[in-house]
Amino acid sequence: MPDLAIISADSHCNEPAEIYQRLPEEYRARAPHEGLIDGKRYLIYEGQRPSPMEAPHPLTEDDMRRYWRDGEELGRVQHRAGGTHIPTRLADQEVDGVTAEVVYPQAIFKLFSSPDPGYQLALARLYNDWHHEIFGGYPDKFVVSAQIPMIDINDGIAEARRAAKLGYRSFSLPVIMPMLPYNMPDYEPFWTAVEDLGVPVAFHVFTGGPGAEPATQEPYEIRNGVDQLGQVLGMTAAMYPMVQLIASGACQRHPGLKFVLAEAGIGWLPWLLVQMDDNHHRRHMWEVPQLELLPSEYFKRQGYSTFADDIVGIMTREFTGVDSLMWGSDYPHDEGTFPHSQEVIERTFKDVSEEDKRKIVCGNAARLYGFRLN
Amino acid sequence: MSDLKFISADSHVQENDALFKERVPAEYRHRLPHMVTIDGGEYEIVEGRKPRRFDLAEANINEDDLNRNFRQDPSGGTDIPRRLADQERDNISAEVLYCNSLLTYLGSPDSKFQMAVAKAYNDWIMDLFGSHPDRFVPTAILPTLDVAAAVEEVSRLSGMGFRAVSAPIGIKDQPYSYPVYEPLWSALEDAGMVFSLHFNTGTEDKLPKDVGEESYGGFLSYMIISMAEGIEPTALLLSSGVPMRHPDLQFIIVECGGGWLAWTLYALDEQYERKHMWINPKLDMKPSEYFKRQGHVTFGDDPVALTTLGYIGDDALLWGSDYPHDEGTFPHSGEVIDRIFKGYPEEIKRKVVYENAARLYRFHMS
Repeated sequence: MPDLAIISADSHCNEPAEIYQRLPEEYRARAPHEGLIDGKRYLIYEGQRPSPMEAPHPLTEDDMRRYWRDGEELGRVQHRAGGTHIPTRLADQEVDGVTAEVVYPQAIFKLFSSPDPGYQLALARLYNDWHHEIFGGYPDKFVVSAQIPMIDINDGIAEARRAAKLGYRSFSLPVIMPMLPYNMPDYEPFWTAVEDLGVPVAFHVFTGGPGAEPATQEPYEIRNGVDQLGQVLGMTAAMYPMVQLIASGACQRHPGLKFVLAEAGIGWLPWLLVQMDDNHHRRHMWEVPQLELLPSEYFKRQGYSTFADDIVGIMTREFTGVDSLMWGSDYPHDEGTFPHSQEVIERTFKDVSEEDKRKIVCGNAARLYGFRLN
Repeated sequence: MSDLKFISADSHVQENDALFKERVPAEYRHRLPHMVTIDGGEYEIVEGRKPRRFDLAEANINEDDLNRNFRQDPSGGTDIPRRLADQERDNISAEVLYCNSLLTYLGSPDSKFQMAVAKAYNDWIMDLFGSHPDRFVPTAILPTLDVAAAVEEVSRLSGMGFRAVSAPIGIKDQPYSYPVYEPLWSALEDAGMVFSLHFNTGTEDKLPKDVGEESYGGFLSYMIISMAEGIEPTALLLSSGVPMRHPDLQFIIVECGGGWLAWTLYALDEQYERKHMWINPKLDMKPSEYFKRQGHVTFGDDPVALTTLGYIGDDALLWGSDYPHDEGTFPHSGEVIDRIFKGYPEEIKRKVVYENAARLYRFHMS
């Protein structure tokens, strides 16, 4: 097995706060930052409620491997140099047996929840320039995902074109747009533009547009399962763009459009595909536009979903096929598999053919993103 | 093939004028779900929801579709001999009954209106079906926005012989993880009533915003996203420790299928372990173990659920025909069951299509 290349199709970096100094002055104070509320540290994102930084229960030694520690200071997500110090990052991937990564951001993702198109575009441009400076020189190690604001669709098209010129091979879009869902015809020019650019779009979980509320609004102090819930329910949000793109005929009209559901898991996919096909047959009298193929066939042709530890989706792969599934470690997050990715992969693929396994942990991502592997 | 009959754990009854025009208090009648014509289109108006167009499908209905949706039954499933004949045709020996037009009315923000209509419905449905306890389990509507009123209604329903209540599958501003529901869980536990969450009963409208069903795939999105809504209360109940504190409370997610369940349980267990530093309350068992002890789901035609029995066990799955809806299996239930259980032991099939429902709803087994 050591000769098998492994691509993490879902990893993260954490942007250092200094980069916000590059923003036009009017936006600097509004950029993601730490704040104190009642003496406790919170992350403050425009358009969202504050998110606590200090966990209520102690960390174990194993957890510490994913955390950044500086004396008494402990960062929740700031893994070492935020994953942006390339030698450290490559050493971590070496330990975890990962050959290449698709890298998504951390705090910058939250730009999508702001109601202000100007702010969204300023942060996206800042990130896309900065990220390219750090990761752009390693095309066979990293595919970085550019942030594309969708609150103003023309801004989105312009930024997608600019990012493609810089060499980006993935575009991150907000996972849901409550104000204007992705089945609306307003998005047609955008789908046409990205189809022409040949760059896949990614809907990463926890990146909702303005008005996307978390499932539960109770105070964090009560914490009735809030964190566990947030993770699981957040993953199901990826069903929205998938269903909207297929049901509205966007996939039918744009066969070159590829979309990735990032960190969404795969165990729910077989159920969703079967139910979409079932409704397509049984409630045929309501379907507009009429789809030429089965809903599941559009997904198999154009969709992908990434998972970290999800044996249910592997067991049920007869319903999804194996060409749409991509493994990702979610490095460096708590909910991810680092530094135990090899164990998780071994356990998950125990009964899977070498050919299928190779596609899911490497081949599909290599093909989709154009990684050159030795 | 054996002489195995099925229990449909998910069937529907159409409310009629006796309920809407006589039993619902006069002051509330004009606010009930009703049809109106807007620019030549027939729309259903439900308080708290967007108008939904109904007439467009009529042009596309085929012979098979005429069997369903009460298109040929003016009684809307309340003519009991006729209903029993339909069930005989579909090899069904008993049904758990849910409402039809009232499925979505809990989107109204007015808890008094909700409860007045629910009480009228509950009296009406028990009067109609209560004398056939081995053929029908009518499910009472239980609005849960006002928890104290819900507790009171549970006590009344228990005295009337109800074995199950149907509550909104999601309440946007008051999710089932909140401590405010504790007295309700205790009341249901004491009354031995099944807490049921049916597809499309949430307070939030899942029709895409500003989209008529006639365009942009709105209808397919709506159906699928509404089915996915079953994941949320499952996760809310398990992660907030409700089944841990109330070991006799039984709950069921209805008409959302079962293929999502294994993934949901696996993901909850996994997150519970990996994000241990963030999680309260601490649970004595894994989330999935509570579900196996107290949770259930119904499905109609979902072969995915059966492939994941290793993760969900064979006690949690109940089959339902969704009679008489277009998305259900009537009148082809036998064919669907034969197809999806092909290759599975007879014992598993018997549990899923009959025994699990008989035990949960206390049908007398023949």
